[in-house]
Amino acid sequence: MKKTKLFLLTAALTLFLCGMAIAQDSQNHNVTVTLGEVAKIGINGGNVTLTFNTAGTTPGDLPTPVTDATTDLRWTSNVASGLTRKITAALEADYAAGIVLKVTVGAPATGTTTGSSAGEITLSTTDQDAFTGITNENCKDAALSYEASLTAMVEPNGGEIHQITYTLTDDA
Amino acid sequence: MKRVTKRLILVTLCAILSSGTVCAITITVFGTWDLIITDLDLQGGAGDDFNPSYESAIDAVTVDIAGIHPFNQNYRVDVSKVDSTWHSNFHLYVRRTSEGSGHNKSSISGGITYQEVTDIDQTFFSGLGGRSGITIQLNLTGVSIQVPPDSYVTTIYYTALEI
Repeated sequence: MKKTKLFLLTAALTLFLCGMAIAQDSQNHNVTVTLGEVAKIGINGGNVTLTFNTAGTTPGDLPTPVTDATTDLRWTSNVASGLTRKITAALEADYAAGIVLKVTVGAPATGTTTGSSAGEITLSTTDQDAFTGITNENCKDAALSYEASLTAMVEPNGGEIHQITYTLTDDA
Repeated sequence: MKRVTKRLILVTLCAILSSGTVCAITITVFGTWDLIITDLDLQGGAGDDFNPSYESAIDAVTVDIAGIHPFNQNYRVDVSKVDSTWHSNFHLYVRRTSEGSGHNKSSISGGITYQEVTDIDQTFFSGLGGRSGITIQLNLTGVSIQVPPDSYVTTIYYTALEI
C-alpha cells in the first residue's frame, strides 16, 4: 500500500511539475521606421508676364506698376526638432536698370504653416528670405504676388525674361 | 537497482510522456521590419503629405511553435510591444498570413485580421500542437509630415503560452 501511494505521489508530482514548468516562452523582433528629411518646393502655374501699359500713362509720369497673382507656391518640409526652414527667392540675373520686380509670398490657403511671410521683397541675384519659420508641414496655394515697377524710363525691350528661383532651405 | 526505484523512474517517464513528451513550449521568431520613408513616399509631390500607412512583406516575420505535443496541446500567442524611440502618432498592427505547417491533427486559428499592437499583451492567435513557418505581416499607420525626421524603434514581443 505504501509503495502504491509512493507511485501515485510521484506521478502526480511529475504531472504537476510539468504543468508548472516553463508553460510560456517569449521572443521578439524590432520594428524600425526611418523617416527621412523632406524639403520639396514647387510652383503652381506657368510663367508670368508683366507688361507696362505705356498707352495709359499720363505725360510726365512713369507707367503705373503692374501686378500678377496667378501663381502660387507649395511645399512639404520636415526638420528635426528645434530647427526651421525658410524659402528664399532670387533672380538669375538683374533686370535692366530702372526695372524693379518685387514679390510677396502669401500665407498658404491649404495646409497649416508654422511660418510666416517676410512680406514684399525686391528681387535681385542675391537670395532673400521670402517665407521663414517653416517646420513640419505640407502647404499649398501660397500666392505669389508680383509687382513690377519702373524707377526710370527704359527703352522698349520687347520683353526681358528672367528666371526666379525659390529655394526651401534650412535656416542658418 | 531496486525494483521500487525502477518503478519510480518508469512512472516518472510515463507521466512525462503522457503529459506531452516535453513540457516547455518554445516560440522562435525570425525576421524584422525596417521601414524607410523618404520623399518618394509623398502622396504627390511638393505640398503633399506622406502616404499615411505602410505594409510589410506578407512574410516579414515567421514564427515557430515547438516544445509541445504535435497535436495534443493547446497554446495561445500573445503580442505586445515595448517602445524605444517611438512616435505617439504611429500605430502598429500585426496579422497572421499563413497557418504554417505541422502535424495533420494540429490546427491554428485567429489573428488573420490586423490588430493593433499595444503596450499590453493581447491574444494574437491560438492553436493545437506545434507548428512552424507561421508568417506574420505588419502594418504601420499614422505617418505624416508632422512627425519629425528620425529613426523610430519599437520591439514586438510574441509570447506563447500553453493553455
